[in-house]
Amino acid sequence: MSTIDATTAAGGFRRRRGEALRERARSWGFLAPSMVIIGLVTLYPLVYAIVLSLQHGSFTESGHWVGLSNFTELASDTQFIHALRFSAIFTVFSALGAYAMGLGFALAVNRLNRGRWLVRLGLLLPWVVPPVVSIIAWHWMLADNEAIVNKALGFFGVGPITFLASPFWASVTVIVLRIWRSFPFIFITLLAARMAVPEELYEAADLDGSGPLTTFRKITMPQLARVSVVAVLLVAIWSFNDFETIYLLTGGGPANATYNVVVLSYYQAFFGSNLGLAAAMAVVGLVLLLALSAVLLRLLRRMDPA
Amino acid sequence: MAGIALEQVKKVYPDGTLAVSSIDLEIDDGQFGVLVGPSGCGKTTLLRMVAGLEPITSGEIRIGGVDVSDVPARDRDIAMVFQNYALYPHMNVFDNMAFGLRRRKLPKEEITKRVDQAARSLGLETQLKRKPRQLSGGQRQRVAMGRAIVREPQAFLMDEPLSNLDAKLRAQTRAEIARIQRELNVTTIYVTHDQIEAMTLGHVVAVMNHGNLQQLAPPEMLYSQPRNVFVAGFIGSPPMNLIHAELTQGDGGVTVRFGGHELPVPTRTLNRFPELGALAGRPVVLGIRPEDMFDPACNELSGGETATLEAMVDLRESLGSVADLHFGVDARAALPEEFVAESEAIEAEREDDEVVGADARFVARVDASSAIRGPGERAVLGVRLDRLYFFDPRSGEALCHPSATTAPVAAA
Amino acid sequence: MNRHPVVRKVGRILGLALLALAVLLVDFPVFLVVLNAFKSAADFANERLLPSHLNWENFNELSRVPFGRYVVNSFIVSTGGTALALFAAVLAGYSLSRFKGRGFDAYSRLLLGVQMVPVVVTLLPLFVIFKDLHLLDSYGGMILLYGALLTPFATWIAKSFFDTIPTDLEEAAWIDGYSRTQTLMRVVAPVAAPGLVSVALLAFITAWNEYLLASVFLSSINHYTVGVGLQNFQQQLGTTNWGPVMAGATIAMLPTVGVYLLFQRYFVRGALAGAVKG
Repeated sequence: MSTIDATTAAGGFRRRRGEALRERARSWGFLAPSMVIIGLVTLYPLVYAIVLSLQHGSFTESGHWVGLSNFTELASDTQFIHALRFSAIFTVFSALGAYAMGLGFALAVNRLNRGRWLVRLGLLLPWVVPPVVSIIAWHWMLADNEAIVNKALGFFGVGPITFLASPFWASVTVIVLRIWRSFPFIFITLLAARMAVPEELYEAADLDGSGPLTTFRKITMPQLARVSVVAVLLVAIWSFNDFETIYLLTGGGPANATYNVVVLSYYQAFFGSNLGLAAAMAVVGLVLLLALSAVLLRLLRRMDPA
Repeated sequence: MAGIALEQVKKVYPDGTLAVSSIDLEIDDGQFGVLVGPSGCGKTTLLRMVAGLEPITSGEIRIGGVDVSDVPARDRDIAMVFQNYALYPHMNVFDNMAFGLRRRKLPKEEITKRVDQAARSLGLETQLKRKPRQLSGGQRQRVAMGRAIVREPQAFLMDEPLSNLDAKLRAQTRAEIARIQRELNVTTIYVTHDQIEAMTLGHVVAVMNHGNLQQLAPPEMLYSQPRNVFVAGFIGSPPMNLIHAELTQGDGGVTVRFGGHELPVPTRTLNRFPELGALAGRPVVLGIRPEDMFDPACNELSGGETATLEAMVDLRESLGSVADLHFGVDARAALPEEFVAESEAIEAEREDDEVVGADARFVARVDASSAIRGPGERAVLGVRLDRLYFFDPRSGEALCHPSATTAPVAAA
Repeated sequence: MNRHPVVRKVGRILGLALLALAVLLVDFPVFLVVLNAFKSAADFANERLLPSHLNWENFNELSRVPFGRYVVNSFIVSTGGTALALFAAVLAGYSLSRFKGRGFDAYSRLLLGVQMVPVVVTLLPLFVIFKDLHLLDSYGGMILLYGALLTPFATWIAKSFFDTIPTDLEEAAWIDGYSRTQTLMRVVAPVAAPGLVSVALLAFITAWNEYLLASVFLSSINHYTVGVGLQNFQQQLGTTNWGPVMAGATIAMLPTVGVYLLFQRYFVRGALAGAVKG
């Protein structure tokens, strides 16, 4: 057979490296379409938005630089601060409410022996139905004192509630609606996670004489912990970014009670005078969201070694 | 048809881990070569490098004399049987086997002929229209083999093909693989962690550990002339008893002492390996195979030197025709991990606290007719002195190997 | 479980009944939409829960607006956006699944991060950009927008489906003589097909249900998607005449609910692939 001398061996190594580089290039090539789309339609506008937030302008004429004055203006804008507060309340309550409801249904459905698919079918509906449609439905149900919900309340002797006209009740309604739309996702995620827990854990707990509450605390919850955090994070993000629920049902009213940062930004952009201000609002929202995610992701990472 | 040669093949991962260090290996045309070793020893990595699925850091691989180190897997004209079979789930058995042939633009009749022939040889004729998920584990394994056979490649590469089968099927399939390889006479590299497969299938066996080639030899030589403690302890079941001992020079001759026992070293051995005698008064590693011990009450030996030792047997495992007797020895067991390996990566792995072995446990394999029952029984066991192994206590290299391989003669 | 069998049985039945009731309550608003679509004005006035008879008048009222056009428009942009996102997602998902390296990890995390960005942040600049490019109020513009909206999460789910396909399947194909791209087309894609169907379904439903982008970027009535058109219709009719609006709502939700009912298994599998892995 041939003898191997140093030069051919070196040449082989170089050729090998060439092939590896070509493979690398190909792998990045596969990413190209998604990078182009996301880069053009999400990243570039994101940077542009930050630029806009530092300007004072409108859609028709380009703005002039004003530095951080938009942001300082927001700091003292009561409507914005209220919207910020409501965003927080809305997010927290929606996420927790959706979690509670999703968890409850997941555990209940898990105990079903038959017909699981049917219940699953029914419970996912709020997520699948277009928001416009579901909000029209809820609007009709809550519209006035003669509406169906108030009629039902009447059976229990509770006075009619002006759901959409009272700032307080409108806030509540919007949150309930958001929970209604979000819980299916948590439900299905937790159900799958619960079904993936090996039955032996529960059998062992049963043998050890563990009651239902203890089993839930010591076995079910730890197993579901990681998935729960991820699901709640996603729902929190969607709630914070929610536009349709609030815009379509209350439009931010009554009396500006249900504005969140996103809806307020929208109104400021299309009905206000300063586009930069709207952009600034959106940017503030984004920053807060990033902070929230960072906190939850750190929690997630701390859970992992366990 | 081609031999496979590896020259100074080395693999380092991007993060610096050394997987395979400078291995030279040669398997002749038509030979069945086995790569065997514990998990993580690099055997699968080596196989994948031969296949072209893993890039080589340095060195050269030749198939049929042609340097294929830079040739991508698909142009190497080899076929592979994967551990999990890797059958295409969306194709039926026929298409699974024909897939590779279609690529090479063979005429349809030729493809059908080859697939039918292989299917018949493997007993798959009735399964050709089925999909993999409808087959049993054993059938899937045979389809994987069929896929390789129809390619009529220069070499077969097999990655632990039997590990997912149950014990009985494994033995059957092992024989099948041997038969097929003999019939087709194709160069084969077979990876396994099971030393029984290595010993029964291989014409030549490469024992690997921690990325290094420990020994490359036909099975009988691995058994009778292991190059170091690792190979000695790896080949053979139950494994060889290995213990730290001391060679002492007495007026009667050289003896080896361990845990309160003393065995004379036969003069014939000292004559054949004078270096052994030079080590008198120094520590040494002693190896005794369980099958080289016997119950003197049952077996009488003729024509071999023997000695006895007393042991407190605490367990007897009856295996039908033989029985394994377990007993403790008050000395430090010799573990392969203790011995410094040539590769740099191993230095980092040595954990001295693990290495201090406490009391060694010995196994002696005796005839089933032995009256020794244990546990807690004080018994006298015989040892064939002409079958003692000695190893260097620092490097683990073999200092000598026994001359005879005959088994003890049973009592009438 | 040490409770008396009869107590357990009763408990089970009660539990089942409660669950059934809960499900009905949850779906009640959706049922209402369909029921209301068939009520006559008289039914509404009398506050009947169920329509007195199958009344198609409300659906006829829909012809006041080009509702059929709305549906077609939704189909066009949803399908287009899904196709675009699927194309990018399959390639990117495969790449992220198979290739390792710091760049890829970073890109993975970028994809996750991008999904967090509130639509309104990019909405404003995009409006300006699209205005300059004359992409406002166009199918192409919407398809591009939806494609971008759907790509990150479609990629994420596609990646987790590709992760379930063992690499030795591809290696077997390479040894059989196929190149990586050929293997992707002839082995990986067919095996991943059910997963990709899930991705497509989820994407389609998300696009169909989208409102904000459609309302901002479509201005002429003939281009409206069904969500925007329906909302518009509702504002026209006000809060006195709900019938036709309900009819429109019923039609608007038919595709997504229909797709969901027919392909439930794929839909669920897709929804889970993203979340349970985290």
